[in-house]
Amino acid sequence: MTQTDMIHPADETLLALLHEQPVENATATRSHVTACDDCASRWRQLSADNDAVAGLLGVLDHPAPAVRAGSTLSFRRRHRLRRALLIAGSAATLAVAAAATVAPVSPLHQWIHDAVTGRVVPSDAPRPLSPPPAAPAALASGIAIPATRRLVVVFRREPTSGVVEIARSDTGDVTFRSRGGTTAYAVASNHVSIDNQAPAVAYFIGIPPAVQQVRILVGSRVLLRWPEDSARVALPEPSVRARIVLAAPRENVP
Amino acid sequence: MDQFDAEFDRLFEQHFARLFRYLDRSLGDAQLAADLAQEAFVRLFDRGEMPDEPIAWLITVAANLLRDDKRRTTRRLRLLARAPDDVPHATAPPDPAAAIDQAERRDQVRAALARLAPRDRDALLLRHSGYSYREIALALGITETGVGTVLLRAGASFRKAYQELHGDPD
Repeated sequence: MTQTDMIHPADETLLALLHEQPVENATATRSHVTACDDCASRWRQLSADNDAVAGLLGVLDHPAPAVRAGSTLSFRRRHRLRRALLIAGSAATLAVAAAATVAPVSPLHQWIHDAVTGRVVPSDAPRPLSPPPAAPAALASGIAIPATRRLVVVFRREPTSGVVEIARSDTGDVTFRSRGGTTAYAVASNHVSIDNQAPAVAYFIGIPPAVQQVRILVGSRVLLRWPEDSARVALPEPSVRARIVLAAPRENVP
Repeated sequence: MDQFDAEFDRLFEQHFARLFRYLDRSLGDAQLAADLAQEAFVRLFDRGEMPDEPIAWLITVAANLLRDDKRRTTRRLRLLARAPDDVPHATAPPDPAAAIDQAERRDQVRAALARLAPRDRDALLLRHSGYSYREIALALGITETGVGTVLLRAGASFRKAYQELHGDPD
């Protein structure tokens, strides 16, 4: 079979060759185009059209700014290190608090046990010199916890301002961050309690695909019930955030 | 510097200019295009690990940022009409008359681009910003073999639209 006997390649194939993209039998196709008048003519036309489009689009160009990765990310790199330290610190605090809760000899364990069982302290028993410690909550600007199928997030205090921004994340962990304010987090299985002591401007929650159900409450007020509320608040793609205003009441738990 | 950082820096050096060109041609605002291109890279950095297809991922994120920006403001309509004059042009116009000509030419090209279907326009701009068929296919969610068909159609529509609006290009 000669080069001219070959089936004439489609315009798409010629264009891909012109754009130097991978094409099946590229060498044979090139040879055919050289030998076949019809295909050579189509090649010249496609090439001229391509040049015309490139010329027109080139009119729109501005020079690319001289930015480098280092200048764009110097702040980000410092922030990443700081965040990693904060998360590690939060995890350590939670671990210590959890250990203190479960260790039978610890005063915290004893206090929780007494509170749960309602044991009456004898009047002649020595009174503690200081009140029992509060439930553990780690003060942090952000935490990451393993994803569970169901996630319940509770803001302990009713804020007067601020927003919750929710985004789908590609990681395996649910992440919580806040901007501004003073925030402490307490974690128990699928339940995260956010003690928004001084309200933050924004709280960011990254939700990985493993989480199938989300509840966000402010006190007893339901802020988001997902997927039931997906018509109102769609959980967006990783690059987009859904925003919910914290202070605006929507509905109350009966 | 860990492996992710090294890989990130390499991607940035090799692909920032291309992403900027695509966004600049889409928006007609070099400053905003630079901001969005940097934001896409910052989001990749914040992700902390490389996606399977980092270039397609960057294009997708940049395109989403572009759409967000369009939704938030009507800025694009203004930008389609006239590129800002406070950014340096690729080739400095020699005189005011040439500057006016260049601005008019940009308006003409943008008007023709605005007539294309969004996917055709994206494919055309991505290809002429230097992206491969594979990268375009991944970013637009079409097959690699379909990219050629889209590009042929988009190129023909673009030239036809330009011709109808302004006659043959010089």
